[in-house]
Amino acid sequence: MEQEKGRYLYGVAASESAVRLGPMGIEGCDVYTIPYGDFCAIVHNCPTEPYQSTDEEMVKRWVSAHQGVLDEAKERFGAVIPFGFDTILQPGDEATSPDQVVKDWLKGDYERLCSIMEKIKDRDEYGVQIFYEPGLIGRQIAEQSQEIQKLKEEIATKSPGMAYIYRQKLEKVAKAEMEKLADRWFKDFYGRLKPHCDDIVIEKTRKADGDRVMLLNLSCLVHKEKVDSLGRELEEINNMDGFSVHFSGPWPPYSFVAKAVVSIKGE
Amino acid sequence: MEPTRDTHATLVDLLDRVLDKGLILNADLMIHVAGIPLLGVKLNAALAGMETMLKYGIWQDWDEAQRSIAAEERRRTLGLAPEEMSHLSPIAR
Repeated sequence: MEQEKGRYLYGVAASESAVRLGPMGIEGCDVYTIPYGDFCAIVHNCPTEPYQSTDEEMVKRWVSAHQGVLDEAKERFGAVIPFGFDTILQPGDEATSPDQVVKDWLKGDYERLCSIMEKIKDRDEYGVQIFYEPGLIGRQIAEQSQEIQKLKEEIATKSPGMAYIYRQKLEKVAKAEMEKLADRWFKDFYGRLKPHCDDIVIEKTRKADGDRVMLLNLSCLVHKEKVDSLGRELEEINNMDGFSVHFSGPWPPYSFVAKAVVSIKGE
Repeated sequence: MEPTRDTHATLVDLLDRVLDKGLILNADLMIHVAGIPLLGVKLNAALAGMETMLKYGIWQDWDEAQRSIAAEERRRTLGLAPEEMSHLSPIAR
């Protein structure tokens, strides 16, 4: 169609086949593959405009469809290099067909695609978040810290005015202890998870729901043979008093395909 | 412990990845909005509209993100260790 000069890219798979995956794309678009060499791009035809909406539900449906196509592609072709949402190619001039633009790109980026494919082969991405409960941990710290014990004993012997000052000091000491501990946990947990992962990206921590604090938020690239051992390690952490783990996946390796590139043609 | 893809519990995990990550292309191949390649741009920013985005400098953030990726890549190429432990726990920061 004349208006559909854009090619929405879902991902690149290690397959030379030109196939139709059917109307499973965003808004039911027909998804198909454009091959070049040993790779094929998974695309649908669209206008050369980004998908935009202020309707959150619609955005969620789009994102789910994007992910659904990648799941199907993985099922069919094995490893898939994922694109982020709204990656749309367009021809630079009238003479070039949109499919040709995709082929030209696959050709131009071939080496990079090979090295990324090598890195992600037989691996998936998993999200790992570890939370702690400050209340429970705080009580443990209070029981174990000699400094806190001493301050508490002193408070009991002080006048109300002095006791107030001591309580403030106590709070400060407890907070510092907690920070010191969090630092140690972070390093400890990271060290325990690292042997199970081929690569790790440290993500920003988010505000957690309820009375929990997110201690670490990691994206892990994990070989399919190491998923079980990672799961066991996380189970152990999850069973520790005051800690809980959120373990999501398998995801396409979204966090491990972006790094290799900064080249913008013409620079 | 088994990983989960339960849609409700992992929606944030999915959005974080699909909207902010994935393979990046040469900018000149991408569709452009107001002369700017739509690339690595967060959808919520796209939703707010490109003009607003430019006005509030989200484009600059993107540029900075790209630079930091480039910097890290250079470190790697030069055989330096990536700064993997540079940002530790949230409260230690």
